[in-house]
Amino acid sequence: MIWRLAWRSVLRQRRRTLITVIAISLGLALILFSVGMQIDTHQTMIDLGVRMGSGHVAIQAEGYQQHRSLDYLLSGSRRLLAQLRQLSGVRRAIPRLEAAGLVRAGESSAAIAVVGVDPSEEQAVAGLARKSYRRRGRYLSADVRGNRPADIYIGSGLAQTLQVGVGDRVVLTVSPLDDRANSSAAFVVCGIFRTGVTELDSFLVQLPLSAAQQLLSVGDGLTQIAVLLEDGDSARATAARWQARFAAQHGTAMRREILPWQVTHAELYDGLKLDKNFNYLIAGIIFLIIAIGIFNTIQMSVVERTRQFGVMMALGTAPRRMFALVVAEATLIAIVGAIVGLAIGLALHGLMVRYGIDIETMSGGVDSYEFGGVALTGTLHSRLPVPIVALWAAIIVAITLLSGIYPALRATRLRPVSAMRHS
Amino acid sequence: MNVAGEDQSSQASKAHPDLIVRLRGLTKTYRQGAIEVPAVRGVDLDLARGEFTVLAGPSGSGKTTLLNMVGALDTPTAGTVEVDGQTLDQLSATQLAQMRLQRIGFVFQAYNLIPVLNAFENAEYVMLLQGKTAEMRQRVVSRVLAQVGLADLASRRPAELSGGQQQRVAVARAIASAPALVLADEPTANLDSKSATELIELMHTLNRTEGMTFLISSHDTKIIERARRVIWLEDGKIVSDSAK
Ligand SMILES: Nc1ncnc2c1ncn2[C@@H]1O[C@H](COP(=O)(O)OP(=O)(O)OP(=O)(O)O)[C@@H](O)[C@H]1O
Ligand SMILES: [Mg+2]
Repeated sequence: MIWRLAWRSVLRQRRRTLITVIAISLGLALILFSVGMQIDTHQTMIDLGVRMGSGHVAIQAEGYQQHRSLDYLLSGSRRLLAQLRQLSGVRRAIPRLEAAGLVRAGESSAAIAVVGVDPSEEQAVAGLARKSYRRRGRYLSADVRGNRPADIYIGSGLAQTLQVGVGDRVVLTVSPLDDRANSSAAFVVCGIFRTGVTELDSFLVQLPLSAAQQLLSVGDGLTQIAVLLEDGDSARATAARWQARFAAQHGTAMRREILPWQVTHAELYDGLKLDKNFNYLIAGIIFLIIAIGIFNTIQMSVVERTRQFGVMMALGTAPRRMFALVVAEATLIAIVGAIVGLAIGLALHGLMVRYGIDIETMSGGVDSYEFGGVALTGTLHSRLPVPIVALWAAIIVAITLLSGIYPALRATRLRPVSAMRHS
Repeated sequence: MNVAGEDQSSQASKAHPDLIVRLRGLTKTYRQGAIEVPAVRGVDLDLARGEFTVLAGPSGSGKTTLLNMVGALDTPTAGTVEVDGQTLDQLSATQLAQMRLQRIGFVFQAYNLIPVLNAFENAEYVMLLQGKTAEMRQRVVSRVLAQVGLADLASRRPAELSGGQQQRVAVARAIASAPALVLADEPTANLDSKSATELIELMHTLNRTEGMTFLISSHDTKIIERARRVIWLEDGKIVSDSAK
């Protein structure tokens, strides 16, 4: 009976119910839209970041993260790579050798970061090597051809500083691990990339791993193995598990640091967290406004029916039933609002998945958006895991119900005699 | 009927099985800031099962206040109320609600009905609260709606009924719950004289055929003349109690 009464009462105030339902549903739709876009953007940025950078999990000699020097080389890297590639949950294990250096062409020179990479691995991983970043030429080729200079892959900013193009020679100077003060070699620019991230485009070069190892005199040493996981969300847990397993096997004899991307890409991680929290704040404000609106509506509908509620109580309706009636009305409004909001929100999500929004359109002409060392380009889409959708729908239903509780309590406190005199 | 003659002070419930209402020293004083407004002043009254009684008196004489206390809607300042053998003194709000639900039928002056329910559902409402089965509700409500002459209008909402028809739905609701007592506070005040007469005739008929006890307050001379027992109230006191 309570549901029938509640349903009819809600329908009787058609216009008011409609406005409340619209407020709830638009609020939910708006939040689903922004959350979906945010999740997709964040996932895309994390994915790009870990592919170009240190993977979901980075394996390094202990101390490398802090000192970033060749004194902290990863030993036994060949076996380690082979072992990692056998593990389930590992998508790729990417060898990297990084050092500081100086690049010169004619009169110009620039301080840069040199990264030795496995060209075929990098192309499979599609980090910096991805086609969409290539402006000129081709990516590194693996084979070192006799005495001919090896390939070097440089960014557009650096190419401009050095005034070089594809096919031009540059000389790279580094401080190798052995006693010599400096070690230099000539390289040929095979291709030029542009990511939109200045730190990469102007200050990073890639070489074939073998050429880098030779130049730096590190044998088969690496500074890092970047691991891409099947499930990026498990980065922290996986890193911790591996660290524990490694410690159990080797004790204190050999130390490694096995770090999740949240640590190696702290800037990206913190930036995303800030963005997320800001979004929560906005959602909180939207919900607060909705809650005030709903509260006001329900409160008004209770006050308007003071006389009717007085009669119902005079007839012997127990206070808890009066409470249940008002809460039932709020529930119906909440459920209808949530359903409509889900429909609108998921429809928007579908459009975003299909068509997306071009970053250029959104930002008014800028074709990439740089954030935490990652540049977002192209089209923004939406990603909405079912639990997230369910969570936000549940939150809005809960808020509606909470907004109904005070008016419902008020209804139970009515005294029939005075309520019936109410005009 | 003997009113103030007996001086029984028995507190035991069901001490007076033949009495539906038993009031002793019933007093209600409203307080408005520092001023005390005595609305009912020491009323003693007995109503026997099956009586049809009209409470008459000028405006402000305390009729509504008295009915509210008999109906467990309001609590006295002093004195005792017994309804159907149950003393109302020490009951909680929920117990009073239960008392009203199980033993008293109400017909108010106006706005009796729940606007979103149709005539049948309104008449059914108290039975629903009482937890009666669907089958029983269907049977009883059909019968009482026929008794009040609204069998054909069962599916109309209050807004689609005249004032007189609405009051008859309220009467149907009151008797459907099979109360020990039906209280009606100026049930005809908002009706034209034809509808008023019809409503009062209806109550008289139900009183005769069902043996249901009625206590009605009214200004209306036609209603007062038609009643078997009339109690006159003035300044919160009974000034005359006459039975035909
Ligand atoms: N809630 C209240 N607060 C203060 N005084 C009240 C209240 N209700 C009633 N009174 C006073 O108590 C007295 C009796 O009022 P009551 O409503 O019982 O009279 P009544 O006989 O029903 O009058 P009417 O015929 O106009 O309905 C009046 O003086 C009235 O002003
Ligand atoms: Mg009155």
